[in-house]
Amino acid sequence: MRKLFITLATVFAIFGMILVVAPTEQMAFIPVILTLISAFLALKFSNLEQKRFPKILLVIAILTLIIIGAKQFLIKDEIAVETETEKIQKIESQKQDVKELEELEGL
Amino acid sequence: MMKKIICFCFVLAISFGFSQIKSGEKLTFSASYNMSGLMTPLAQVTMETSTIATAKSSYLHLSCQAATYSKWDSFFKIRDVYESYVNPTTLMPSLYKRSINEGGFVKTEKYVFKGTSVSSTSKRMKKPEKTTTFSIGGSTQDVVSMIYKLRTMDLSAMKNGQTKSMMVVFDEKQIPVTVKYMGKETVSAGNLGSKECYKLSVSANTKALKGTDKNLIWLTADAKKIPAIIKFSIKVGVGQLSLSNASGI
Repeated sequence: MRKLFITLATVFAIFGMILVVAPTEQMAFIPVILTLISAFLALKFSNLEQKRFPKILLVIAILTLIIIGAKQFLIKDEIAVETETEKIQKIESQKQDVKELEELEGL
Repeated sequence: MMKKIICFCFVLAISFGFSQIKSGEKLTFSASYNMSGLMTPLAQVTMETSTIATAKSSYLHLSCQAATYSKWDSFFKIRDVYESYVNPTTLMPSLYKRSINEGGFVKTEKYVFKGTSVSSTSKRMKKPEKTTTFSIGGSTQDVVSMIYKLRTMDLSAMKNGQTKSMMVVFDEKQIPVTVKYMGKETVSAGNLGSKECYKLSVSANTKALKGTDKNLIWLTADAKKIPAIIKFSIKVGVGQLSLSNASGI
């Protein structure tokens, strides 16, 4: 039983870490909670000498939770600022459109 | 005198009937996409209007831009621009442009409306440019101007389940679009607060939209008819645009 919970906790922890590194930190919440549950159960089924690894998994899960929270609070949903090149391209494109419309009016 | 009154009434009727769309309007939406059951904010969609003048006349420039949030740019960058140059009174399009840049996939389209014919030019990635000419009806819109046209319609007298038909130019052809009235609902409309809205279901004879009554739009039930929420169901999943800010309305 201990082995099963350790395996589950490890798999969920890896999933959680991958999701938290990507911009999908919201989705990381589910595997992190499952890691906490599995690691806690693994700890319950462990004797004194076997408690180290489940504890490490618990610490990883808590750290991942902290990172999720930090990313949610610190990284705002903002779009990149338009570069000068993009601004010039927009103006040029609009000038081209005006030309096109004037050609159309001349029909 | 009578002529002046009739003239004034005509201008007033036009103002209330068609010209609800003001130049300088800016609507900002937060676009979320359903990922494993969680609505994840992915991009910002901006709908803007401005006046563009040529030597002979002036047009209302309707622009719809989608850009992924910075944190997504290195994973899947989206920079889409949909533009339409329309008659400020009737909202009939003269020029419609679509520029797609989605995770490296690039496509540009241009539609020039000449009465009842449209000449389209499209270019996809490195493939050669394709030019087509096809016929349209007198009231055919493009996708962007259709959304604005929808806002000028009188929805107050519509009953649940009642439909309106429109023709739209999409993927180098003309397709019918049906708009079904689904009643009123109060929803959140960004900086406008909670608003009573007209709920409409949009369906089109295209593979791009999926499901029945899965493509919905909530327009504020007032004279402005601002889109508060737009829900869409497409081939690759389900998403939603939620109004975050409306200015110049």
